[in-house]
Amino acid sequence: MGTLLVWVIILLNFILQGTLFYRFSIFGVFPNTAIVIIVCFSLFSNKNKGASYGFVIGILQDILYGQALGIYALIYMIIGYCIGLINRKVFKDNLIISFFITTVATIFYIIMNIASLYVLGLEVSYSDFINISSIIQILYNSIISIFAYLYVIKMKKKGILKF
Amino acid sequence: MSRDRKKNKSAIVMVAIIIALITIVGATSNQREKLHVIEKWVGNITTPIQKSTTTGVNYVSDTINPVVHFLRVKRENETLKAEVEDLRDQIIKARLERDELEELRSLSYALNYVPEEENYRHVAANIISKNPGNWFDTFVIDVGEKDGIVLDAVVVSSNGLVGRVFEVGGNWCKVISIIDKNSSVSFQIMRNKSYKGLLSGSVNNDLTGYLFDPLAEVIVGDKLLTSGLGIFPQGVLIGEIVEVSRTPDQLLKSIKVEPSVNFKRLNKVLVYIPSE
Repeated sequence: MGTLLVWVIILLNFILQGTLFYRFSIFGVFPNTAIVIIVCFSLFSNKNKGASYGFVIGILQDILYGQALGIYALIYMIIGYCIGLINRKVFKDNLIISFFITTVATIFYIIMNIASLYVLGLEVSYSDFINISSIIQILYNSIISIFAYLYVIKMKKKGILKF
Repeated sequence: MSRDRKKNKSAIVMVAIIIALITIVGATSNQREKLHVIEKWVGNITTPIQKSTTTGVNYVSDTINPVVHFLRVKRENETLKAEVEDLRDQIIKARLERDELEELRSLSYALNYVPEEENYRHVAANIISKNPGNWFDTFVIDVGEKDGIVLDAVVVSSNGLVGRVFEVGGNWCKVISIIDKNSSVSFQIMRNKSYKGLLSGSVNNDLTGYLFDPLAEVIVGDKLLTSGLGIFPQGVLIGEIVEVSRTPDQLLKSIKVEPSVNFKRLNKVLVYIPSE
């Protein structure tokens, strides 16, 4: 039940992210709940499980929305793996941790997106990633991750979620 | 010792997967002809679920929106009424011109001159879901192979050009919109059809581009149509110029265009499929 619920949440997030969440945009920026989920789930599991969460989320996004198959799978898998790596070294009852890690993860996501634009052969300039939209993305994701993290901790203590 | 081996093993597996993924990215980064069967089926299964979610969300928001934005709805109502009057006048004029066109056409057939006419079939579609990443503007619509959608089919809405189809699944397909950074449209100015140029989307979701002729006279407010060079057929409304300036190297005139389609509130689109 615990592990199944994890995958159900991942699938549910995928379906809702493309349909419902894009309506909650602030200044044209949508919340990237995929990153939030990967951060919160990988913090409690090991690097392999974290990588697999990232991979599945990424490959679903690639198939349905992406142009080059595998970009998002790559980005999310690396994020999941790295977070799973630091699983043991982090004090987990602290909320600031989730804010900080989501910020770093979003920055990585933004940089990799710019890199993929470059690989697809388009010109990129500095203003593409140092602008208000990036900052809002980072803040939006990180604030959501605080709430999600609180919730995940509660569910884990009650044993409803198992990683 | 065995723990070290386990650690190394998972690191090796990760590196192998990363290399495999990079290879796949490289192989698929140019536009592909057909989607792999597995991909098609992932979409075939997930898109109906997303479609029902979107229908529900649309229904709720359509019900809530007028209540919340009452004053704005009232203003929109007034503007729409004025527009309807204007359009009615235009229809009358267009009908007269159409009769004249019919006469000329039958005359041309009589003279044995058959013009090149591209026949398009059109299919109506709903937008099911939108790319949730903030960097690309692609979305999924609920028609696919089984409705006859092919690669590069043109997608328009009642207001103007929306984009084109770039991958096709069984009962779904992916559309890249013109405001995506990866897409470019060649245009002509409606006022003077000899002024042509190229527009592309950007990360900030606006359209920027330049004109081929640096001496072209364009002003803010000029409307742009597709020029027929490239994938999009001629004559579809793209948008309106909001800014004219020079490119940094001073060689070309660059423009910024506001698309005539409101991409944030897009629900229904029409797909034009060339029937050959």
